Amino acid sequence: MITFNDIIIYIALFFSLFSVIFFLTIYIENKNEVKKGKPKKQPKISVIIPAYNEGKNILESIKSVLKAEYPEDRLEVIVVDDHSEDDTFKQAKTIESKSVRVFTKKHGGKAAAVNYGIKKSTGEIVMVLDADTFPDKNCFKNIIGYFENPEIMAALPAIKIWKPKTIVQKCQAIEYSIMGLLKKAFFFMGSMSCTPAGAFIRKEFIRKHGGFATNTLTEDFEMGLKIQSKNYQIAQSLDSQVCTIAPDKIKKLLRQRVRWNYGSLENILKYKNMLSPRYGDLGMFLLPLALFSVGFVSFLLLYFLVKLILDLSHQIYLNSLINFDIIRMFSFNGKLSFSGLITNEKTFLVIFMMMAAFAMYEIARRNAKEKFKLEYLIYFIFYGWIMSLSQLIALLYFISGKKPKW
Amino acid sequence: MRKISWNKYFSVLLITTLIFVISFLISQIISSKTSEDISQIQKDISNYLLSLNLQSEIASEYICKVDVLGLTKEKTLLGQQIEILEKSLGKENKIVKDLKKDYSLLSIRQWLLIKQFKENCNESTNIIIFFYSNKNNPSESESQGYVLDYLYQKYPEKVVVYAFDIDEDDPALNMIKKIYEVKEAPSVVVNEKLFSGFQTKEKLESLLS
Repeated sequence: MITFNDIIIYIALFFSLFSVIFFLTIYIENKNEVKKGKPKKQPKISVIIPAYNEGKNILESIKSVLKAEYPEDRLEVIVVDDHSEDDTFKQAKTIESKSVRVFTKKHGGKAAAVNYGIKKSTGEIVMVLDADTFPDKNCFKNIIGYFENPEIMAALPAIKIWKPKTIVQKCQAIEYSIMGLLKKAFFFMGSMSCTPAGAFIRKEFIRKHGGFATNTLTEDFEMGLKIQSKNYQIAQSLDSQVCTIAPDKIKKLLRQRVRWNYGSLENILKYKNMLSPRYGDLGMFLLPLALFSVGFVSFLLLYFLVKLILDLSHQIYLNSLINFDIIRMFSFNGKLSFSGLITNEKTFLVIFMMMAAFAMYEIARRNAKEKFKLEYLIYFIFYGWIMSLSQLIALLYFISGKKPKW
Repeated sequence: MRKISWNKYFSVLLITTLIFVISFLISQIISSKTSEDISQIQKDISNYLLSLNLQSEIASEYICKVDVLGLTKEKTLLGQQIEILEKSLGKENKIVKDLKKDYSLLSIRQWLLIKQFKENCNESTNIIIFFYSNKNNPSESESQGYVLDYLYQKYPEKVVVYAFDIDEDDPALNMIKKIYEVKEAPSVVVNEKLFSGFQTKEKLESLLS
């Protein structure tokens, strides 16, 4: 007998299996097709570091750029202090030089600070770097080749987690490895649509199209969609990387993801005309998938939470009838729940799903030349719940018309 | 106009569907194994019915020497197996329905034996008959069942419980319903006395001897 419960589990399993297999095949098919040209010239790069209360990290961030293997005269750092309450400005000032310029302005948010920095910059290519993000020394020389292709407006380094310590950070490290693979697949599909921390973008494009949007929570996603909407490309590199400091506690992580999810919803809606065959795989598959997954995952989480609460309260009610003298009942109930499991097709679907997901992690891990981490198990079991919860909260914010706080 | 990878979507759809089909097939193969288990349970029950008939023949002469309570435990085990089947096959499944019918006949047969045992051997066993319904007021029946399960496990030497589906139309069962004037579910007969509606754990415990 098929129940409503079964149906939504089938749908969820079908979509997750489909997506995992899809991205894996895209990645495997294109693996050897490196579309990077050898750089003939080395354009000047302006690294813009918007900073708000980043006194702790700002020096490290600037220094990591200065260590880069890239001609000194072809690289400049522009720090824009967004009127911090701490000593960010003072700290940055201590290493100001010809190639490191430091500005401070009235508080106006990250996007405004980046736009300000771009105006002050002299480079051809702009790298937007968060103050808690540090580029590798090979990052610049490995990525610049992508810009030989005039169709490519932006190129993204792989993002790694900076010295993960807490279990929350270690899980994010695994997530970022897998995301690296996915982003590469997006790139092969010509559908990369975000320019996150450490993105390299042609200044000409930014200037021509009014800079970064200041009225959204995720200006990087807005920029990505903007590039896509003009039918240009965003390249994803795996051999050039930046490290970013990740939220160390679940609450902070949740807040970050609510913001990201909210921003995605906001911007997909803004660019809803892109949900069309004219935009190829991005318009027909990836953007609709993003929308569907926020909606469906939220529904799924809500449904199972309500069900769990109802089941639990029912169980509590039944046990209240026997004054919670439950120890005697355990052996009986345990026997009942186990046997149905092995004959159930869902069990096998979940096993296949786990195999596909694990294959994805394995490929991502080998690609990034990382060791197998036991935290993967924790990631696999728990991480999805936090992500789903963040989608649900973002959706609720969105429906209620309120913006999550920064 | 940008590229849409229709071929890719189609082939991945095919692979995913294939995985679904394989999963369903494996579960089919395994559950066909369970259907062997089911026929085994069916055989067990009918064997047990037969043997119980014989045993009651013998027992009527030597009843106080037979381990009647031990027989009850075996019956309860069968009942649990049927319950498991009911969970995986559904309440409306024909095999489940047939098994339940056999099972209630077995229960009636055993109930008679236990009664005899109690009357003839000066035993203080408490006999509880429980009428439940899956149609009317099923949640109260479920609660009552939970409480009775508990009592059975708490006093395994003192309590035997026989549960019957009030909606089942079986001549023998109808007779019992008539004898105790059972009209609604849940109803509980404790040591020959009828109590209609849900009975609390405290009330039932006070009725035990």
